[in-house]
Amino acid sequence: MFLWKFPCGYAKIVLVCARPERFINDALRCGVPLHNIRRVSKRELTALVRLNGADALYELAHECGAELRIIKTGGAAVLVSSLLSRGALLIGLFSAILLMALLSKRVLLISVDGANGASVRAVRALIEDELRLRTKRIAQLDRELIAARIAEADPSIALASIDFDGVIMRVHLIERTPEPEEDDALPSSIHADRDCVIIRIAAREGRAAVRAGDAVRRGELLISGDLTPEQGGEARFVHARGEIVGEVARRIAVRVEPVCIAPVKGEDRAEVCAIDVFGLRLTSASGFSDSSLELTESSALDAAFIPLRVSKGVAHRLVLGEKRLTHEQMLEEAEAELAAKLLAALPEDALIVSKSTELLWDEDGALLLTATVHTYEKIGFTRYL
Amino acid sequence: MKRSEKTIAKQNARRGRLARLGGEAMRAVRLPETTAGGFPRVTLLADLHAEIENHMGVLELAERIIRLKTAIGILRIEGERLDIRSAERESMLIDGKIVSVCFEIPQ
Repeated sequence: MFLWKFPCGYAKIVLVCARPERFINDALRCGVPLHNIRRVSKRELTALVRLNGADALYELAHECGAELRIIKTGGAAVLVSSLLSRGALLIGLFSAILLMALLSKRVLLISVDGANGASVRAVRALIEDELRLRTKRIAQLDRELIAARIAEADPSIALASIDFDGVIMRVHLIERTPEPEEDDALPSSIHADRDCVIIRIAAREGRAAVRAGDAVRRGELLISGDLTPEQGGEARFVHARGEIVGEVARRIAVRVEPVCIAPVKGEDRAEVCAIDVFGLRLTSASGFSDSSLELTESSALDAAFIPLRVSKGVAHRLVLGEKRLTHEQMLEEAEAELAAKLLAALPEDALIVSKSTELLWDEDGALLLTATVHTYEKIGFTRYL
Repeated sequence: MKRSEKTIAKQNARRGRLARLGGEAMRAVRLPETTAGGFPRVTLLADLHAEIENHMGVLELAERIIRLKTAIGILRIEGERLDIRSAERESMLIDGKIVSVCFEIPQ
């Protein structure tokens, strides 16, 4: 019966007249159905009527000398008409949605990390002014080209990499570290200090022995300080200098046993009671230095807006023993240990390029978590000739 | 106005007579009387709803009593918290706790 209410729209009317019953009959005779008719007083009643029937009722009320008031309107028709009357609001809303849709294709925020304040500002200015990012769509941007331009523009930056995260452009920088004080007079060469794939090599003094993309082993020559011509001639040696960035792959494994030694509940126990007030728990002395509290009964004694709860329970003495871990606990422990190992293994200037983890459950229930991490790092150490 | 009321009263009386005649005719040809137009039909759902078809108008509307005019007399519905959930030209749905439904005996 009330299915008509929302789609057709309705009006709640108050009718005041000498004989409301007669008005109802007249309305029905005119073909205006009434709903939820309720007598408020002898001369007054309320009813629901369709929106299109309200005008006819007005005329009828006028003819009968009755007073008719609409106190509420609702339904889809009213909603649509009120929305249409707020045309400006609708236009504004659609414009905002359209603008957001257009802007979502472009870079709105630039996040730069891995460099000091001056470099960050310089990189930001370069990206905004010279590359004119705002005028281009994200799909049109060449990440490698932008990274190369950043590295070219600022000599203090050794390597730049760019990622897009929605409308945020994340720029990761690796700064050049000041060269250690070396005896510049002595001829030397630069060798690889770990196995890696060369990403970028720039020999400022000396001759590059490898190229970008080459895989090198630890100790392999990267920049040679021996500039003696191959055809023979006068021997010439220099102190080799340069910037070498390589991709290093690391594999870090963590094993967590299902059983560990941890404090567990012992045989000794004592009854205690606890009072909780304002989130603070006061417990009666159990007599144990380390104990685990297990509350069995609890009752609220809230009084004068003070949240007071008194509980009764048992305190167990904690002793060192074998504790069986759940899978979730093992995984949590393994992840924490792996994160700590990673932090210790990676150099400060390393930029993580990719990371994958592998989970393996042993037959004896132990968990083996292995992470493979690829990073961009500075490579090379000086060896005097 | 008085004239129109008289005309309506005459029409109602005629409809009542026709309904009775129709009912008798239906009975004579052994058809259900419900098929004859004009007879009020009252459908009760427990003591919660009463649906009245073929009514001829509301005579009295109050919280404890609703009186409707029909072709065969005045239908009196008594109860508590009575209200008209839906009123259309020929049918009416009454809500509330219905205690009794009866036709008033003409004085």
